[in-house]
Amino acid sequence: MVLLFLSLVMCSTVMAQTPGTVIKGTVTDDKGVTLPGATVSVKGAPVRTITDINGKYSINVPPGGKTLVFTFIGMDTQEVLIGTKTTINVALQLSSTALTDVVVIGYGEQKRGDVNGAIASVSAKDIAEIPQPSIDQMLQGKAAGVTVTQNSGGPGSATSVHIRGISSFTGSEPLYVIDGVAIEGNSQGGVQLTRPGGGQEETTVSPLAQLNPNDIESIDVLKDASATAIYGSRASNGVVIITTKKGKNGSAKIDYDFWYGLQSQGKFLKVMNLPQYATLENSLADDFGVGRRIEFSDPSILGPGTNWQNAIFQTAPEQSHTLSISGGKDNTDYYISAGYFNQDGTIVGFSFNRYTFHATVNSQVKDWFKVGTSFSANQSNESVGEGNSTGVIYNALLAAPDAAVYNADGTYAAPFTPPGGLPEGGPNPVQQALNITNTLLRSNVQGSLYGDIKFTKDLTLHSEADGNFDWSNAKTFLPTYSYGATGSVPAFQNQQAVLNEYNASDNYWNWVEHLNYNHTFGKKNVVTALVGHEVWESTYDGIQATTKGFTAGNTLQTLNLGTQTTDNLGEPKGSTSMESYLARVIYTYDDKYSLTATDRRDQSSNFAPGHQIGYFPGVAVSWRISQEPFMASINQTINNLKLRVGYGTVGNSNIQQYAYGSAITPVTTGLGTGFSFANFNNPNVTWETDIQKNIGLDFSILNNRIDGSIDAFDKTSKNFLFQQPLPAFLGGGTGEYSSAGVVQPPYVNAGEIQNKGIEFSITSRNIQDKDFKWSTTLIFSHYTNTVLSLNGFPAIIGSVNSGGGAIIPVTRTAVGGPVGEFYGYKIQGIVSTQAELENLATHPQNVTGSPSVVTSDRTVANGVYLGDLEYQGNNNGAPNTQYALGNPNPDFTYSITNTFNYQDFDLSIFLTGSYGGKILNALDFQLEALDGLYSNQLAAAGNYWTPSNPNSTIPAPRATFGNNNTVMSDRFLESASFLRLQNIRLGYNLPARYAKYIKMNTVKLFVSGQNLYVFTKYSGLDPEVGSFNQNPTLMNVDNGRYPIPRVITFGLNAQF
Amino acid sequence: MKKHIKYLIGIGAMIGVATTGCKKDFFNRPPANESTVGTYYQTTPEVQASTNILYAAPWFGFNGKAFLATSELLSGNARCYVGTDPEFGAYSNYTEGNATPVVTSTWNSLYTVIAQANALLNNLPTAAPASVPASVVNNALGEAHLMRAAAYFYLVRIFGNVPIITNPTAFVGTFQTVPTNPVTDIYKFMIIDLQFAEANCTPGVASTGHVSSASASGLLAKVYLYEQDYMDAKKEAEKVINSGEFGLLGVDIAGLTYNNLFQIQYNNNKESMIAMQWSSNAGYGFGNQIQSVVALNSTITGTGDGYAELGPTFDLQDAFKAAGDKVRLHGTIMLPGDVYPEIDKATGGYTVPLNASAQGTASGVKKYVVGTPADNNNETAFQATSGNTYIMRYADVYLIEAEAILGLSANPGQGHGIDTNATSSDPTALKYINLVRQRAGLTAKTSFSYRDLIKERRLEFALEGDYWYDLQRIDGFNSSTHPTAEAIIGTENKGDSYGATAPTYTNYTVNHTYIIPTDAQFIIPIPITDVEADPNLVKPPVKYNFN
Repeated sequence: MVLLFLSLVMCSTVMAQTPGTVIKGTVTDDKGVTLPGATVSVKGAPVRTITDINGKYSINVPPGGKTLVFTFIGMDTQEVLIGTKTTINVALQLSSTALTDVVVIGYGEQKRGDVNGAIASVSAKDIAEIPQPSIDQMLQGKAAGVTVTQNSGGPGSATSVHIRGISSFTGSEPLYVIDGVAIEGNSQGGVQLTRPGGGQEETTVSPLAQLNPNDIESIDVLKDASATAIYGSRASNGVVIITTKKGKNGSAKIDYDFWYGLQSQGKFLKVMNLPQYATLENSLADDFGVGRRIEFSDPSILGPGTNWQNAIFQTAPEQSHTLSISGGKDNTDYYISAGYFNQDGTIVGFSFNRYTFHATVNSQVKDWFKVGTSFSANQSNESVGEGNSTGVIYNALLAAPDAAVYNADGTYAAPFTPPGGLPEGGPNPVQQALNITNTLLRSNVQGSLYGDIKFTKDLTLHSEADGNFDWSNAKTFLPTYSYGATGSVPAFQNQQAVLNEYNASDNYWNWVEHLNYNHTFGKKNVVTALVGHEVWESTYDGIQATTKGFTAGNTLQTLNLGTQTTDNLGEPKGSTSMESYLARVIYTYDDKYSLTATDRRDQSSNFAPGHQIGYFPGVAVSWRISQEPFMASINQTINNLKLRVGYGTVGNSNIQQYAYGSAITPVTTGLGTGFSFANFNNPNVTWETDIQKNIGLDFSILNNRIDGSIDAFDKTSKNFLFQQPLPAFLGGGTGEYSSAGVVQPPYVNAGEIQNKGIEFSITSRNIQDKDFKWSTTLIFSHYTNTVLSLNGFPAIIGSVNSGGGAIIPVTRTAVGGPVGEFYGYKIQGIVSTQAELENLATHPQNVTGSPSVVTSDRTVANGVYLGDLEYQGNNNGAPNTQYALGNPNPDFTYSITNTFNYQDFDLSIFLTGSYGGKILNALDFQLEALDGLYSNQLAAAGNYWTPSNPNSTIPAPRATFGNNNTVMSDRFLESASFLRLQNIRLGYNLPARYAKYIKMNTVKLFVSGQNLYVFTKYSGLDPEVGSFNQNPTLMNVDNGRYPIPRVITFGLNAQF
Repeated sequence: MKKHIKYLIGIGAMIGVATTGCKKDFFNRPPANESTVGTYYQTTPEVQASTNILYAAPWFGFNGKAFLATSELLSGNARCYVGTDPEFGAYSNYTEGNATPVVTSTWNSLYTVIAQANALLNNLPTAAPASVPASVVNNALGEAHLMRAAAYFYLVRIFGNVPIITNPTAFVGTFQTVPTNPVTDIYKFMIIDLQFAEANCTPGVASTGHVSSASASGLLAKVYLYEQDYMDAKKEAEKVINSGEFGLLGVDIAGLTYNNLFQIQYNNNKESMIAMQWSSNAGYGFGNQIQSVVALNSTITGTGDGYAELGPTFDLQDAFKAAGDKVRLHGTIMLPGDVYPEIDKATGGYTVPLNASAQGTASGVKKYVVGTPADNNNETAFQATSGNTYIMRYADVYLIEAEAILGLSANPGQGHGIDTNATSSDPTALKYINLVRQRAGLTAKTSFSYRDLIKERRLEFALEGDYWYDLQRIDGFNSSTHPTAEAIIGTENKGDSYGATAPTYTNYTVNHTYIIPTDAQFIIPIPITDVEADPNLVKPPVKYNFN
């Protein structure tokens, strides 16, 4: 795009000089905004001019000139017959064909129509006015083959982006390249949240949360290996290239973009109110043989109790401001912007804010030399509550309705505590959310600087240095506290405050040089070639410090105020480096046949000498069928038809530094520093290789009214890198949630995972009237994920921590099935007759590890009694058969966008959906467990099986956690299918003629509703849960995940 | 010149690439913040520090709930409500199965100790240079052999047949076929390990926290005793006694008491033979978590924890009272009204509330409860204290000696337990059992039965991780039937109490609950997580190849 623009600038020096008719006029866009720099030429004559700063032009038309041609980048070229007119004003329309858009392909760019690989692009206008805080979230439903799920609805939280399925266990997030700066999507290095204690919580952070989406010009997703091979070993999960905005020639523009939104929780779970809870507690007490609580003797007289969901969820505001100034003059263009974003969480205690600064300058210094820079500085501040199974939502759902949030005196309340006993319920979730400090302050500076030297018309050298520098300060402060119900001893008390800080710095730099050659031989042979060299290094270093015992109180939370004898220090530190050589040739014949061939050689420090080097070739060919003579007769119907075929290999080296050897890690012991043998080594560990095949068809039909692409792919990763799970008897294993001292299993190259799929995107311009336009875009993606081999290793088990402490195996990744397939028992039914019970007495179940016995004592964990679950495949007391219970991957995902324009109004309706996957409602391990006192349950659980309620599908209460009824079974699986009304937006463009009165070029107002409704059968809070800590074996496990809020937004975009 | 400047710059840039083209070092990136197997073990201090790990973090998963649940809940020393603790509630009625979290923690943690010991044993001999004295290397190897045996001793008692692993890397590719080895082979293996430790560990160093040669002899004596090899048990016990390295606090070491054994300031006292060595500074996973599990409330701990998840059974309380044992009762169990000056010193000492009642037992656990950070020079924190956990202390050696003498005279025969009525009035045996009683303020016995001895062991080691294993072996080494133990457990009331009211709270009624384990429930099944990885673990054991 820059090159085209420059050529325009240079052409402007050729002024029309021949005397003739003078035609004047103004060129505007379809909104009436004047267009400076538009080219006006006379058809068939070497005369051209460009419009001035106000969009005005004046051209001398030589005798014989009959037609004026108006062109402007991104707009349809328009021809106007001169006739007798002397003033010709035109309004150019936005390009209706995507063929001329520029696509960034990695170390270069290409016109969309010339691309041979599978690349999906999203431009600024596709995501404009979608009030999302982060770019990855905006990609959702916008590009075929890209599955985007928010791992949490919390402010600033990480998102999972999977391109064409999951092909690796070491992270399946793509590589992001932002103006040349590569950022690994898989969280690594230093920046992460700290945690106050044990438990399973999200600690990964979003690599993109710090960018202001308003600064983005385009996003190009390189999907197949023929496109990504140029990124070699960094591209196994695809590449997302993000290009920021640049200034355009002409007068400076000032843009102000603002939106304000109100977020709220759209769905609540029906848990028991106090009378229901009291009734349940009474019957549980009877069942478990403990006394009833006196205060519950008559549940009917009790009030509704505390609604804990109301106590933790809130309506929360968010707002975004971006001010940008851009323009260009004298061969220099610039874009500078500043942004502020602030978001409170819909759960108390969560918030996120961000300041962003961005600048881009490009200058053609000499006719042979161009330089440019892009630079961002951002800071974000994130505050989180505790998450998932130890977190606020989890505790709020289980919190007993007889406990208050606050005591009458304003202090935090807690469940009643019998003297010397345990409190009759869990901690106060509101106290947890508000009292504990858990923050992450991140500062980031990112920049690139390049110079282009043009040796000849055809040969250019591009040199570029990029850097990305992150500093973060994660901090957890657990204050002293003491709280309890009025009249009982404090249930929860802490006299020792604890501060944990983690200051990390991550530094990344790369340097790339490439020579580019571009020449047309004869008239039809176009060759573009590139050879290059790149080197990068990524280092991280952090200081981890803990101290305790703040005699000065809870207000000042700094390390120097703790008791020094309690200090504990750590310093995570490491680095990775890579050197690469790259080459690419693109050859096109007659605009019909095209070939792209690439190769890359990578050398990575993550492997032992002798295993460091890998080669990653790729090739793609295309045939533009519509250019063939035999298509000429129908080229009004079929405007463009192009067939693409690609093949390539890419790799993955994303493992821990020095995983090939064995480290000796320092560990604190009572005898001084101890040294722990850290891991099994594997000196032979090397590249993972992904082989990808792609066939695609691009088309435009019916006078470009309908265009689209269809791609089918086969992506197979071989010898993938993963940490081979080992049984605990070889290297030890996690005990009481601590894995300190465990000898970690080795990283190995093993197995084969295949993703096959089909995806398409179609845009139809249904109505193209002057006043009314309607277009529809449909995006569809389907893939099947299959593990072809684990190299003889047994299945990989994924486990969740289901609160209360139990670690429950829930997924199993085995040959023939998908990654992270749910696995467990299948329910036959409820044991509801004496005959069934007697059958079980002779055929004992064995789902908890010891064969069940028929008993009348309901406190026996492996006993079976009327009202218990019976599982399928009971085989005489041997372990019962476990089954693959379902696939977390959807059968397909889809999105539909309808856009309507009527005069100055536009309306878009955007729906996204997912069909066919399963979701594990892991909250129900507790919420419907009926296995203990003092925790609330779903209201529906009260309808459990009793002899007088024989048709219930909910088993009768059983004491003890992990009893027969709460093992992993299809009871907890639900359909994850959903259709989300993701966004409805109504915009109004103040007509330019009015905008002028307030000295503005454009004024746009919009109102938008996001996540307005979710059509789903899922009974939990939100059917879209992503992967836990980006772990592919724990997809679609809802363990108290922060649900995505509903947001109503009002926005304004003004251009001066 | 001007025309060529672009070529010069361009060529310059490309030369830059060529000359800076990465050197080998650029790709050699060993860890920046830790040593590697190739660079560690090079100096005497490094070799000495290499064994520290064997006393700490790897034991963590066993130390807390597993340690207590196995020995105390199963034996009837402690109780809890089944429904209120999801992690070990099932232990209170023998239904822990193979998937209860604490079962997994037990297995994982003990094998973590073994893994670290194996790593040391496999790497140290080849990595250490000649400049490190052989005695230093051998002492470290001896410590590793001892700790490996200590972990196997718990494993074999809890799970029965388990796999013996010495070189785990050999099984990385074939772990799904690793069999278990029979109990008898595991005992043989432990004896070999302990004999190595006895021969190679430096004598006289146990007060540093590291095990000494006599520590190995002590554990060896206990292993022999379990095997009913009374001759060797006696021989090894006497080695320990004759070493003079250890003494009983309050008997051999004047001025100290039984209660002092379980306070942080007396870590590594003269009675401590083998102990886990914790630090409160690094938080969860590195400190002793027992206090947080058992302390009555967070007033005692001052750190927000103190969950009273176990209560001493009325049966245990009655056993102390029946013996007239006030000293050990005070050091083991908090009774309403008891005063502990060493806890909550800031308020003048802790008085147990009259209505204190952990798990309905009208009492709370005292052993290993140490108090607030202020009481302990800041050596306690949330779920972490610096207090040691004993694996073996010297009083055990005295009682082993006494039992070995009784065993030799009763001569029950292999696989049969000593008759509980068998008595001894051997003066040596009496001397040692009476030394233990003397500290407890009890009168000297003139003869004792096997039942008396087991009762003595129960009171001495109550809530300290031992009694269940005594009950398990009372019917003989590796016995698959447990009539005597079941009879004893059948008399133990595990019930709670109700109805206590102000002001005295002594007017409660005790529920009577008797739960008797089946013979099969004397062994806990191997955790499902490992069985799924290696189905051979639940097949019959295979003889271990000692060559």
